[in-house]
Amino acid sequence: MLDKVDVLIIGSGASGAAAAWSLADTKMRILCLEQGDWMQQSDYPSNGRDWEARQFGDYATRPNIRARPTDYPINDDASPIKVVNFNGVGGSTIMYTGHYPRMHPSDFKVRSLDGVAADWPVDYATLEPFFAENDRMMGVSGLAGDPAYPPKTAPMPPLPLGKSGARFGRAMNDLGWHWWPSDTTLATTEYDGRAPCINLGHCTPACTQGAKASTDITYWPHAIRAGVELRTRCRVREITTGADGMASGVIYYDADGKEQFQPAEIVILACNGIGTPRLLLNSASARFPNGLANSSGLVGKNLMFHPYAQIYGYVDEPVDSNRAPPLCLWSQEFYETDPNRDFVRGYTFQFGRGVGLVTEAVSSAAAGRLPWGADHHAAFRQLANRRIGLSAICEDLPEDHNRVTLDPVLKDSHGIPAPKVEYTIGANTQRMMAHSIARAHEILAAAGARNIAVESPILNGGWHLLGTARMGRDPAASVVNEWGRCHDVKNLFIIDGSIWVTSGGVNPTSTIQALALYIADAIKQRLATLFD
Amino acid sequence: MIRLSLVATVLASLLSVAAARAEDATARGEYLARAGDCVACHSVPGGKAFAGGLKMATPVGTIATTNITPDPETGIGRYTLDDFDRALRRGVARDGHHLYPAMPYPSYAVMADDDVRALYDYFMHAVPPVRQANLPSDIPSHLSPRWPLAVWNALFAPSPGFTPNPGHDARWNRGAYLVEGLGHCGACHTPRGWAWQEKSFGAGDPAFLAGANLDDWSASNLRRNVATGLGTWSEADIIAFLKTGHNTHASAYGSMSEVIANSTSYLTDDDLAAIAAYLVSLPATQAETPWRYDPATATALQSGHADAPGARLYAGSCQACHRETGAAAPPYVPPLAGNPTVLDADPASLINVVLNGTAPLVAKGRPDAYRMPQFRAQLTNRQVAEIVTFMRASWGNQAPAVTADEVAAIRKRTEPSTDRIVPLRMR
Repeated sequence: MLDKVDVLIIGSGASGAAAAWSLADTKMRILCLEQGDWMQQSDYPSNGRDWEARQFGDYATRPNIRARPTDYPINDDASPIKVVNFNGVGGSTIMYTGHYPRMHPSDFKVRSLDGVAADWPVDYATLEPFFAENDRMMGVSGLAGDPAYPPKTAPMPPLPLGKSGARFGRAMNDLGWHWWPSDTTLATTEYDGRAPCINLGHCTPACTQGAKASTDITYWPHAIRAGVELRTRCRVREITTGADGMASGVIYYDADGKEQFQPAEIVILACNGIGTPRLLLNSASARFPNGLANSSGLVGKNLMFHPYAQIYGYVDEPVDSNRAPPLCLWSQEFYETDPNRDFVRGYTFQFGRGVGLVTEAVSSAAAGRLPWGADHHAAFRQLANRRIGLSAICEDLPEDHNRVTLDPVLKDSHGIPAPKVEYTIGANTQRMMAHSIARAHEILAAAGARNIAVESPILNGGWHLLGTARMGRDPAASVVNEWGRCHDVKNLFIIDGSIWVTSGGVNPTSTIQALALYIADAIKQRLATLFD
Repeated sequence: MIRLSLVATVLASLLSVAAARAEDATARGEYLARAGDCVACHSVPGGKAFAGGLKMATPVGTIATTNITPDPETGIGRYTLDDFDRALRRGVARDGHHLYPAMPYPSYAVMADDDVRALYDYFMHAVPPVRQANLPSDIPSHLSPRWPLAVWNALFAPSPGFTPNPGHDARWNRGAYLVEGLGHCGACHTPRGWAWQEKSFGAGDPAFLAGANLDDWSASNLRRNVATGLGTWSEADIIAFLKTGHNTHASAYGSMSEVIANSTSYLTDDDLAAIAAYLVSLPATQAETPWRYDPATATALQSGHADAPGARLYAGSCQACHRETGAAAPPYVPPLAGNPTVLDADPASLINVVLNGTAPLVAKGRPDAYRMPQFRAQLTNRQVAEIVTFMRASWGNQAPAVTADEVAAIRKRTEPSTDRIVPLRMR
């Protein structure tokens, strides 16, 4: 048996890293288990000329395609949106776009405001200092003064808009609709040992420059210097419980495939909205027959993805469209509920630049825009470097039929049952997506784009994995309490996107990390009475 | 009892002062060993530092560098300070044989006595001894007698000592001391003559640091030539380059990467400033047309009309990082527009970098982000020639065209599977 630790964190991604760093203050013995490896920045696709090709291989966003030894399979056949993630130190922050909006204050009160779903047990004001602390740690670039938000500042200036961003800005001005330079975690100046973005545009499959914040280069160096231990290639099979009903530790497979038992005083789950319910369901026992911490029956239920509607077109001049980070501005004109529309809540538009040349060729050939024959090159010249586009991140409401269960057959390389996802887009969200596509057509027209194409929902768009172990004050209607502790197991905490009550209409990483810091702070405030 | 402990305390403090002094001396010696980049030649990749064993080709045959750790049997453990000095500044080993001038003793000759002593202290007391026998050289027997080296020395090696130039300030003279001496920059950057001697060892001669081809790399002109040299570089640019391997004009490649990793990134700001002050004082070897940016190439590439030979290949293989403008993203990705390596009359380095890529630039142990990938598998000789010719004639660059034969020759000589020994390990 290994030495007992005070705090065991499962997962080193967005939330696990933030909590590890925050809890290091306590001088407790903290251990993080990560199923993936440390990443080598020099291996990233952006360091080679085949960076686009590798997005179909070892840097595919979908784990089922990427299929690294460190990935686990996910049965998402019963979902129109496929799950994407990354497993390694830094988790999915290795392969996100770094788009970093916060949730709105209204997102925490949707039952009171709109009569749907449930209110959160925390609010924006409570999280505000943790948002700010997280912005400082991750290194956020942005422009103060966005009227869509309460006042906030970013430690670095915003990304340049570029030709496509400026074009969208002018179009939105003509339409009279809100837009603002995005908050991103892409460094625009030297920051905490990171070099600034040089606009190569290869952001999503990991950033060689280190301009894009991933927790392996932001939180982890600080946490490890403060004494936290991070063990890689350790895949947790189950959380064990003692006779007292408390978590006693975890059983995991180490780098050599050997089974280990790691005892711990406190266990913290940070495995995302699919990994966390999978692990709780795999930890069923005689005392917890429906899975650990699942007396409410809500573990795995209410999965929310944010269906994406993507709309793009082509303009009549080169716009450096595959240059620079993919996202540089947003609009929240249609974010808040408007009773004149046929849906509640709303969405964020994120304005994209174009795609790489190979991606342009492949997608245009598939869409019939790029014919073979004598005119092939001339046709390609009218497409390459001329694409502009935008997507709507549509709020998904929590619905019982959208869920994560254990697949009866599929297992990972260690024989651990794999998750199965069942998901359909709800009616409210479908109306919202239709609205966003209509508005996007107007925006693209105002921006001078033609040859408009729509992809809705984006197939490989299951980035945001939320809601499958929701937080709340009522143990019958939630899995964790208002500060992340499981109602059923008083030394078990959940800090990832699973605990979200609703999804908002924004990329979730900023809010996930602010929540993780808030929960870590709640643990620190209550150390003497943590299990009461 | 009190007295005794007092004595002990005083003694201890005296001892620690002495130890600190010894530590200062070896620290200074270590710094000088860095400045001289001894480790670059006296080690093999993956081997013990300073244990030698690196094979080097010379015009007369292959020699191997020697073990300079203080091991008494196989290293220099039995060297006295005088023995060490004779080897370092005059090229004569302890047993009296002459060293081959691949050892840059003609440059080290300018070193000051107390620097030689500090270097000696470092090697004898701070470098761990390694028992590793020296490899034999394979110089053919009719060329192996060492006595002609004495003649060579008489003809070409400067006499020891450094004479400050009163026409310049102390900073310039410090720079001269480092560049001409320990830094032995001329070993690569000064052209060599008929007997493989460096044509010059000092600032007074226009051949000094005028650029030279060594085994398929063209070591740049470091003088004020405005196109092919450092004529447009400020002192701050030179300092940044030596510190990190990058600046807004260019990035290091080839064996300069190792110089930065092992040597110049560890130099103090004062010493780097001295080197820069010295280099910017070296006049151009010839009048050159200064480089001026011409936007025509970028306009053509941006509008998708890449009809010049090589333009399309450039768009497909190079443009993602070096951009239509050829301006790239310095200091992280070097520009091609106005880069002295691209403008160099000798295209060897440019061809070599396209074929074989670059190694990571490591500054004080920290690697940089981007590598130039190798293209030898993807591009034919003709394609490389077209791309390189395109770069040399675009964005205001004006350098002669390159032929497929030139590429073929370098491709053959840099074949990674060859066991051919490369002079000064410049591959």
